[in-house]
Amino acid sequence: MTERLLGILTRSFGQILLPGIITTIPLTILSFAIGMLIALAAALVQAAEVKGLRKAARFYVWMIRGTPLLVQLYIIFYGLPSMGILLDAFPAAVMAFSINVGAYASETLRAAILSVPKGQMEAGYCAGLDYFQIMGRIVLPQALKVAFPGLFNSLIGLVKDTSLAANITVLEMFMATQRIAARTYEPFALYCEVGFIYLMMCTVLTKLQKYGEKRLDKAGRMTGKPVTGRGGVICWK
Amino acid sequence: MLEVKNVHKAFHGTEVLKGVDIEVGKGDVVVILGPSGSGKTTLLRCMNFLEKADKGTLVLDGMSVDLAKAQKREIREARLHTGFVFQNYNLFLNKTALENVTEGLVAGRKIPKKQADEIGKKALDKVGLSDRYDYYPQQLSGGQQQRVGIARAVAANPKVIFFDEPTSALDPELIGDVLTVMKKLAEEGTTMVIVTHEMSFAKEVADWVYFMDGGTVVEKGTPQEVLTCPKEERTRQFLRRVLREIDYYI
Ligand SMILES: Nc1ncnc2c1ncn2[C@@H]1O[C@H](COP(=O)(O)OP(=O)(O)OP(=O)(O)O)[C@@H](O)[C@H]1O
Ligand SMILES: [Mg+2]
Repeated sequence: MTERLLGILTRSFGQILLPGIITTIPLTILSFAIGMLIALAAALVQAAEVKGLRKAARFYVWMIRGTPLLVQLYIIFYGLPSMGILLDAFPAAVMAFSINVGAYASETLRAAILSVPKGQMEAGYCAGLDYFQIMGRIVLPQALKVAFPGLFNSLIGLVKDTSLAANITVLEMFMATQRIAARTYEPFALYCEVGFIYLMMCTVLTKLQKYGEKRLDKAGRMTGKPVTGRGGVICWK
Repeated sequence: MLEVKNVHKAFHGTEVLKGVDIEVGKGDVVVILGPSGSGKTTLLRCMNFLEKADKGTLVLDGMSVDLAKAQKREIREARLHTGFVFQNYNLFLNKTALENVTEGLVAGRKIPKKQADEIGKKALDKVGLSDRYDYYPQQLSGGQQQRVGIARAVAANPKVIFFDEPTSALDPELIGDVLTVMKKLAEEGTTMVIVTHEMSFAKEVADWVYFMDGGTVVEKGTPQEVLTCPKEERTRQFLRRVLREIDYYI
């Protein structure tokens, strides 16, 4: 490796990482948080079989999963202004990403809610709880545990998808790299570098997921000694 | 105390309950017998609004509710005064034994947590689980889980408790513990409606026995009357079959 290349790589590292920290990460976190709220709402109206809303939620999931994210970004940033809705690049990106991740996550959540045995719902009613109490106290805590890996998958996907925001003038990591590459004529090294930074971010998230899963696993079965039951000892760590 | 009148229920056009009447006095233990598919579970579920009957009335301690047209508020009110024990326990899997019992007290009945914990512990003590407060359902044996289920139903001091084959998912050696607990409840004067296939339990504990077949009550009376000298041919057939099965079993 030449000295020049090494110099470019070290100098560019900070210049790429900075927009990563002030744009890519906030964009991811904000979009994911809003997306989760959308997902929860969309999953709940389907699980509860709220008549009109259920259909609306299905339509939303169908639309978003059936069209490219890039197209969704373009419609929101370049398309909506022609209908009088003008958004800055960053809010437009947040909007597109949250709507997109919300659709995928709602399916993860919906499946997880369905995986909780229905009898617990009935037992909840018999114990005197109402629908929202049963959902909030019994079903969702179990569903979230099931959905956790799938939701993390969406989050990790989102980190990388934010690079598409470069197309609608958001100055995030990828666009910063493009600019440096155009100046220095070192596309190979620079795009490898930005790829490496994405990889590191996702590695941190993967570790976080492992840790989270361990915590959730413990929360379900904490105290007590092993019990002999049907089929021998029921084991846990 | 509790009375259901003229309960009708059809699934997809097939009539499963064809006008069933049940009457339960305070402190009574009513056992419902009948072959598989005769509508016993459906009846209990209609009585607790888990299934919506097509027709019928429930009178619970003076409160009368239309089983087919009950309002949400009425349903909730009725459920606050009844308990239900399920064949497959249906414990809340993310809650400990104690939390399973207190959940309905704290969230459903707005009893302060400290007080609810005391009631819950007492209920678990009563079913012989004083050393299992903090265990999760998956850490308990089937018999222990069902006893948590009973504690959960008992804790709120309901006017009546429904049991749907509480022991039929259990290994034979675990059935005894559960039946012992139910016997104890009966002795304390708990009003219970029990669907079971445990004949000797019925004979010993029931005040009244109903025999159902094909969605109707074929015969009712004291255990003496129904189990020892049944009037109806269908009852006799059923008893012969069940008792023979027990013989094979032994
Ligand atoms: N949700 C349902 N949908 C359609 N049919 C049903 C439903 N629940 C029960 N049935 C039918 O109603 C009839 C009565 O069922 P039910 O479960 O009440 O019988 P049971 O007396 O409890 O029998 P078992 O002793 O086997 O538990 C059966 O023929 C059953 O197939
Ligand atoms: Mg049944």
